[in-house]
Amino acid sequence: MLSSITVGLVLFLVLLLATTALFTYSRYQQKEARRPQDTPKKRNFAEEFANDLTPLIPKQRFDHQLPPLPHRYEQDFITLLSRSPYSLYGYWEVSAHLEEQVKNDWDSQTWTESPFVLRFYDITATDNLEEAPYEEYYISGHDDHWYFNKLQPAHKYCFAIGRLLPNRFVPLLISNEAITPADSPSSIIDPEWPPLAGLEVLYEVTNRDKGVSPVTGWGITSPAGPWSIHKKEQPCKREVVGDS
Amino acid sequence: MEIHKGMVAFVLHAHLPFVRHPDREDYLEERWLFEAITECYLPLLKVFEGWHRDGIPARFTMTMSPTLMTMLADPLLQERYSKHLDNLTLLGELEIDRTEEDRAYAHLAHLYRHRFYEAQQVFEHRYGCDLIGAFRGLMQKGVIEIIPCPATHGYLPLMRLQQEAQVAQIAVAVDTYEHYFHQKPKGIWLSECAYHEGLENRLAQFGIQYFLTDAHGILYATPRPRYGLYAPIQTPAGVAAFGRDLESSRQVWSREEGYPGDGDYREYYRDIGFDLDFEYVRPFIHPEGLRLHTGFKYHRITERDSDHKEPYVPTWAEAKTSLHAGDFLFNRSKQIEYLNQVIPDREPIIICPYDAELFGHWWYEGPLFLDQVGRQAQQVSPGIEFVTPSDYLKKYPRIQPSTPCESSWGADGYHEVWLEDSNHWLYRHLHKAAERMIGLSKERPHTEGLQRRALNQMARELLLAQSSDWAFIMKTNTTVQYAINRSVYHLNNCSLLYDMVTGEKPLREELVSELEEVNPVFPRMDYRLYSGQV
Repeated sequence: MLSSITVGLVLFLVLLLATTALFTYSRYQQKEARRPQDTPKKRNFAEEFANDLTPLIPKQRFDHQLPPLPHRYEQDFITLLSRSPYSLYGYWEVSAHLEEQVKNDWDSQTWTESPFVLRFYDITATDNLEEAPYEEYYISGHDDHWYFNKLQPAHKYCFAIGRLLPNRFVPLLISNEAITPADSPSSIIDPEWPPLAGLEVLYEVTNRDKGVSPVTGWGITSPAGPWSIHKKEQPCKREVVGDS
Repeated sequence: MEIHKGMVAFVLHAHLPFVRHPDREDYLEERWLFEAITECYLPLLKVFEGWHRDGIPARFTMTMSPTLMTMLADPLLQERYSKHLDNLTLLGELEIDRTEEDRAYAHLAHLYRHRFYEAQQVFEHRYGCDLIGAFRGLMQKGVIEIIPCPATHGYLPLMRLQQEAQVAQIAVAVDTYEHYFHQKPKGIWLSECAYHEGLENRLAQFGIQYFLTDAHGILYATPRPRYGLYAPIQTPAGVAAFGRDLESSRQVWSREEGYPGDGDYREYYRDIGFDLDFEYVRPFIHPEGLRLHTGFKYHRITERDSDHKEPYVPTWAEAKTSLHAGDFLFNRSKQIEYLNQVIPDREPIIICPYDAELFGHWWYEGPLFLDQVGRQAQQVSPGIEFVTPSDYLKKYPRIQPSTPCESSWGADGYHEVWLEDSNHWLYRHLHKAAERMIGLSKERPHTEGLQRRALNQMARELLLAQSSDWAFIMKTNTTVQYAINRSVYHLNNCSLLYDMVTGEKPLREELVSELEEVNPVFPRMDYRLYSGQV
């Protein structure tokens, strides 16, 4: 004999199942209602499931798996840039094609055994490289840039990359000309605008960290320099009060 | 008593690189903009508006970089800024609770909470998120003169062999400026004050009247300038060059003896983002748990060489700005007194250029100091007139012909910050990308459709890669990886677009569209600028 309790239990279970089914269906419908109208019928469930489970994982950053820049462009270029009155910077690339071309004019073995050389010309007095004084640096075929230091301000320079054959330098590439900036006041005076004597007070300021220029020539502020508030003040200790 | 007369020209250079990442919200670098708006641009607007309201006749020059203009006008960044302020206001509430029992800090928590709430109100309701409109209004009222700098703050002397690239940087700057300020710029701020002989010709093409150099740019000019730093010179192209005054620069900017280092001013480096319990600050720092500045800073500098920091006392700091403003004016008046003795035939002009972000961001009380300078000048120093460089040129149109010296305002005064071991590798790639851009522009002056869009985007990517900020960051060793990656990323984009335009790779609209969407700087970009025919 089935007791009324058992019947009640069965009915309760049936009701529970029905409620669960109804709730699930209703959630499904709500979800469907939120879905944009133009969603394609055929969906990739695996992808959607993965997204739903990982809402906190953001997109990849812009630099995720960023490919490196090319090591070489396989083109010829050579450039000289000004850095300071005493320093220039040069970079270059000699393509295999160019070297192959020039090499054909010479004995192959002599060419290959000749050192790779950088010639740095001071062309301030003359543009003719045959006459211009130069310095020579032995470099490797892997070098692609050079800092030229301890130079003269307001001088004009250029450089060439090539091979130093026995008794002869064969340039492959010659750079642009670059002029180092001046590091002192000009000696040229415009008679219509003669410098004012009262402004030609010498002073030296070299510390760039202080936010000032490395001026070692003329120029003037007030002759005593800034009248600093720090010099006037006596340090004093004060008590901190919360409601001050 | 004789009243001495002279002019002082403040020039505040506001610039940030284009940092906008629509894909994610956790790029720390976007905070550069948010912090600058809260701490610097809004307080400066308040100062200038106060002057206008109270009839203070001070005139200032502000430079605004085209990248900054583009970011300020960007709805996505505006929305993110509002959210950023929501977050800070919430942190303010928590801080009020946390510091309730602490007399030294409780009022500061209230102050910050109020400040961030006020910033949000002003930004959203007073200005309708349009800060450019706010600055434009002040320019129309004659309080400030705004000038641009090259499009992405490109370092022009290191582009000198590619004049078309220099022209594009300036042309886009002028175009963006006209778009937002409805007039032509009178002057330009050369990125990092970097000048080389001949650059003035590119500026003259656009009707620009003046630019600024560091002190030695003028002092080493040829012929030697008659008035030293205290009058501009006229370059061969007719554009005037003004030089930075050293004394006023040192007083405001020097780490050792400058005003911002005073023991009563707020300490920038102590911030609850670093000081407090990790779990407490976690929701307000980087999602990955990286501690960072929140803006809640409770200490004053105290002693610069010690880690011990006393609590910040705003009233002391405020009083100090007043004292320092008086000191600044006193020194300018002394300077002018002396210059009046030695310059017989004109008033001297003292040029005071600074990074705008110094005022408010690094030096929290900086805007208050400027306010005091503008206000006290009217009371105690009637001989000092605050002008813009173009005001000076109007008053003294005849200036000495001379060519400035190649220079910059970076360390040691030339180009070595932007071309040294950490960043030299960039230039061969930047030059190659520019060469390709110039070539395509000249070869294809009449493209339409997708080709044209790809070329315009290539120009944008090139400009973004040329930003001097990346090389600077590499040198100064902060957020270096981001700077390197931004450079490589934009250069790679240039290469990809080049390959697609030239047929090396198929021209795919979705790739062009994606880049247009992700890097939408200068929407009016026209790649034909690179053909050299503006």
